[in-house]
Amino acid sequence: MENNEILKKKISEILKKDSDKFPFIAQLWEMEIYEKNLNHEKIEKDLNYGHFNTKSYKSTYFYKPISKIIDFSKLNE
Amino acid sequence: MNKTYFKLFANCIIVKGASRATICDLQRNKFQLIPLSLIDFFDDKNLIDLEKIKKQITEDSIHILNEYMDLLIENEFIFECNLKESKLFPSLSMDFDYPSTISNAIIDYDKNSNHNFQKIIDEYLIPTNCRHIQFRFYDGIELNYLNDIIKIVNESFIKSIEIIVKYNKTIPLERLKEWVSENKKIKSVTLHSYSKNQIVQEENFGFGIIVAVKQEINDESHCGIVHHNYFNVLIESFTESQNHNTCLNRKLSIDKNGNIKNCPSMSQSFGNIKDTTLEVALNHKEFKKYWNITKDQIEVCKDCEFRHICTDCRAYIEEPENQYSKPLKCGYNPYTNKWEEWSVNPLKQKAIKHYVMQDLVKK
Ligand code: SF4
Repeated sequence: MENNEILKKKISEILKKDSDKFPFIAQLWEMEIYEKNLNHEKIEKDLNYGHFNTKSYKSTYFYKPISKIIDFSKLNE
Repeated sequence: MNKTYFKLFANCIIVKGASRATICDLQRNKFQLIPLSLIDFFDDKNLIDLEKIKKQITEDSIHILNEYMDLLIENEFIFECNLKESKLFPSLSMDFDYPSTISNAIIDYDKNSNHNFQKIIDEYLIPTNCRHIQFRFYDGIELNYLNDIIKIVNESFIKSIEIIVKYNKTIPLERLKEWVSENKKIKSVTLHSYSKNQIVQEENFGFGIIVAVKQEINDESHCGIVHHNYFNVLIESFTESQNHNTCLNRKLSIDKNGNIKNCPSMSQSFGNIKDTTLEVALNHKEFKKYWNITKDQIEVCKDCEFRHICTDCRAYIEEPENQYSKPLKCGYNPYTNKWEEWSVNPLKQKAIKHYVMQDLVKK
């Protein structure tokens, strides 16, 4: 976990320095590092970028019902 | 002088059914039922030429025409324009895309489950950019346990979670309200098997809604209900429904035994989280087989005026051996426009037996 934090910092530095290659806002992108278990021996690290404040608690609803397990026809009983 | 026409707003889409139609207003998220005869007023460019129609109909029908026009104008489905202006309003693109491999996930859990939620989120959801999860707990669970899960969620890019959990006395409602207010990624908590149906906390300035229902939900066989409260008049789901399945497209589920599935109610598993990686499951040649089954291909639904706002179900269908048959738990008949209780329909009894739902429908 700590290694991932160090890695994130390093990537942030790269994003900050390389303003030609990345949009200026890139230094504020949030990052999430996860491990891809390709098969049981080989583990690869991968990276997800989220926009600024992706982790914000202000969140949005999904645009449709994820499941339909609540029976609305019984709610008036 | 320029002749006046009436044009349908681009965000209002007519969906024709067997014996009536809907106008789906994708901007205001509402739909309006209309008779089929009203559709004929529009030409292929969605224009109404009122003068021309008046010449074609009898004197007696004029008041009906006026009523129809009032309905369309009052609801702001149409606007006045000339022919030149009408060309400035192109139709809405029906293309759909979503910035993730998996857009939503269901994770089921009961007293015999032993999921490692950290692993599920890190290895199965985050890599697919899945941001919305529904957790369904068929048995009672302690608030501390839920809190451990929400801690993982709070630290991740997951945007929203919905929790369906059996009511138990270890979750006092007052404490639950506080907890939901503290954790804003929780969009809803539904307590099932409660003594009555009750809204415990209304959705309020971004705080999640808490509802309690009497319905006992002890396994996944309760899912798949088609009810108008589940209708969804949004541009995302409407466009998705043109070419994809509205329930299963980009969905991943982990059932109560840890099996990786399209939907916990389906029997086909693509491996277990204990020994199958996300890549292996996703690359299984059948993983996406339902993703592109649209309502336009499904029997009966293809004649239904609600087909682009109704979330499908492929897990429980009227003819289990025909993957294009109508959802079992839909009681709507688009030919008669009547809603009836699906579970007593004689034509559905065979499928109810097949899915071993006899006890469930008795309740
Ligand atoms: S007939 Fe099909 S589209 Fe119409 S309400 Fe029932 S399930 Fe939905």
